[in-house]
Amino acid sequence: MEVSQLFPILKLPFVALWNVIRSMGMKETIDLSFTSKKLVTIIKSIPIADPEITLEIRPAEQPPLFPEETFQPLTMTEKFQKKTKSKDGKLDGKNMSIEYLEYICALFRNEISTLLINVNTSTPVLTSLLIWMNDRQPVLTSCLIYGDCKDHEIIDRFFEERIFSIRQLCFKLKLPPDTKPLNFESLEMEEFVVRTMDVTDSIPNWITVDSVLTSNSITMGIGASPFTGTDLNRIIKGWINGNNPRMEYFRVGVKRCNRQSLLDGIEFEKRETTVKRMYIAENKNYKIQRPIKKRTISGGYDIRRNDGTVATFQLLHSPQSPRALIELSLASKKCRLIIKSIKIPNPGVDFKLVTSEEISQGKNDAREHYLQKHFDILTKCLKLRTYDIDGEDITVEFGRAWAEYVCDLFGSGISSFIFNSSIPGLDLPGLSKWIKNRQSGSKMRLCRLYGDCKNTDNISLFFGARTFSINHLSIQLKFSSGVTPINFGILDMDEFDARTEDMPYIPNWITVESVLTSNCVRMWIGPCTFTTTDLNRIIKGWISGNNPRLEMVHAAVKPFDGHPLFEGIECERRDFDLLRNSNGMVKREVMIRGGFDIVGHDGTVATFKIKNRRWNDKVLWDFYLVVWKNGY
Amino acid sequence: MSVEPEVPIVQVEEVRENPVLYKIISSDNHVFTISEHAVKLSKTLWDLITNLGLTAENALDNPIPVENVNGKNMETIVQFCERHKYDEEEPEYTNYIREFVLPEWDRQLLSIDNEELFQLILATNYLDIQKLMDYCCRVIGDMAKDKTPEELRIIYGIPTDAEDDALERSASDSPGPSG
Repeated sequence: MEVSQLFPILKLPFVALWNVIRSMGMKETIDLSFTSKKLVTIIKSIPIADPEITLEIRPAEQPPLFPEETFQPLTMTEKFQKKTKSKDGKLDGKNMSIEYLEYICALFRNEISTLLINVNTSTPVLTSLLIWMNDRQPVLTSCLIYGDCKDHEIIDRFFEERIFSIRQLCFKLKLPPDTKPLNFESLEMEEFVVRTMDVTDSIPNWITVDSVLTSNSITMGIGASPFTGTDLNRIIKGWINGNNPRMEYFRVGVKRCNRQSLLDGIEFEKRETTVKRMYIAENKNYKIQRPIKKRTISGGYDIRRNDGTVATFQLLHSPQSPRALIELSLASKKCRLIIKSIKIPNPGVDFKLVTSEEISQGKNDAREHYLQKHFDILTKCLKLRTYDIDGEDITVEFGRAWAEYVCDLFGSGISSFIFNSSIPGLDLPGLSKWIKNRQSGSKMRLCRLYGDCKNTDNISLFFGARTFSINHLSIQLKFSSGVTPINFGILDMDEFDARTEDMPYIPNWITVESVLTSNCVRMWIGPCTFTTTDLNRIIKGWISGNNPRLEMVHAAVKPFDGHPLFEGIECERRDFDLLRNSNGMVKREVMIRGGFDIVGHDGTVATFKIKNRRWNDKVLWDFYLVVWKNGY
Repeated sequence: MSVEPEVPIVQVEEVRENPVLYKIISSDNHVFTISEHAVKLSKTLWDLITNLGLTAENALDNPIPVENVNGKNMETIVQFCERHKYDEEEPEYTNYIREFVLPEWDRQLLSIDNEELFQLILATNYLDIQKLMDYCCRVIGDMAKDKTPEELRIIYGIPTDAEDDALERSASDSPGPSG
């Protein structure tokens, strides 16, 4: 290799050298350690809080569980052998040996934290690994056993031979129908998670009730089980009798459940669905995705353990896959009638209009195939030949007919309407009227507009004609510089979310009147032309009670002279050290440091604040107004 | 309480057209001006300014000599600090520092030859600018991607164990200062 210039890292100040090594990935750091003993000593001296060592064992011919670009665990395959470093010292990631693992654990001064086991791994690889791990570590943080399971010899062997305890055990398996119950020994882990397994197929008999009754897990999330109502009844009674005092959350999927058998002999108190209680799982540092972080329980059956602890159980109906039902509905008129008679809660009919380019770019997208297939069947079945079909594309008219069919089948409205506003000739007012006529009072969960927007007139006509309710309006438009403000009518949705920032300028796409007349709970407004006077009006508007529902409004604006912002506003400046959280938009929590407190006409306190940030090559100011509905 | 016009939001005054400026003189006598918010990114310079009691009134009349940093590096440092002066404070990295993404602007700024980068790190270390240090270190760490240990040895100028041993032996064999 030719190197034009070397970079002598050993001549760097020690802190800089540490930082250089800490900025490398685990594989690079391991390779660096092979260069000299001195580097091994340096790497071992770096203060790294808790380096995570993840090991995957799998057959060589099977792909890794995670795409390599997203996650690269160390890998051991059945080519495993007791080999030392290769001649040039390069680590052969596909042939990890016990010696290497020993070396790596010593280098990072840690144990294996996560183990991924492909269920088709060879027995010698698993056994050697378990002997080594049993000997050196008492605890494994996370373990995931995955793959297409033809027999469960490897799983049984794993539970027979491992001695170390596991904090989180996860299965992601495809099991054959004749699977016998797995021998877990004892499920003593803090978290037991089983993913996959579709309840529409026959569920193999892979787990017994006794495995649950004798377990000591805090959280159990079992995707699909062969359990019956009687089994669940035993599990509930087991908890009441104190068989697992650590249990906090248990969820299991069953194919069918007799409510009478479920409740038989159980003393319970039925709670109304208006009673909402939230369970928040303790934060744990597991590598594998958890089955629950928090969940709101509406109603349910309260039960009480002998020691006075109260728990709630619920039986929730998870619908069959809507896609499978649609397939079935196309088989015959009788099938359609049967499906129509089934009450399916929240089937979620999404109506999406995309451009031809988007379809051609997504050739591997299953949705295209699905729509094309149904286009053929539905055209034949419902005699939709009169609709204008342009080549392989599905027209808006066809989309509407298809949405009508699905909504009629499930007896529901359209739950989301997503469209690319740059589709040429899109009749948005017409669509708005169509939705209005067919929604009949049901609220649309999501309306999202995206794409390039050169002219806002058509969008204004869409919102001008709108009378149907929207829960969440998402504007993801890339506005041209000369656009005029959209006439939104009254913004009455819970969430108004417009955070597109991928523009070199600040477009004039929304007026302050849209905010002042709105009734939104949360508004996230991306770069806009609001002035200091506009923000002053928003603050004053809230103080005078123009929107009692408001919890948060954000607007990204150009920097301005700060003084008119405060004109006529009574406020109290809070210390910079004061940190307060507000639950903001979906997946977004707003943290307010300091700011200015104001009091609304009803005594509610809110805080407004401006923060600087860089945007393209300019500076933007983020204006926040957060209302402390529940105190702070 | 109504807020006095003289007490705007903290950040407001920093974006005004006439921020407080300081003068810095590099080791080769180049003079640089830097805004107050930018100079705060350097713990060394800000401590110096505080200790010298420089204020908005006298800052430009009292240039700060920095003898350990040449004009070329100082220019890069000033550009960096001005660019990042409004950044939010970031949490300290207690584990790996791989999590952050190096912005394209900074990658361009740090696309300099290795000798210059080395000198820039020394200057950054002296001026105690944490963010620039992290960014420089990321650039150097990225050189290790897809390299074998032997290639890493060459890129980073790492002596072999035998060379290290020989160096140690010659150091212990050579007479000490007292002869």
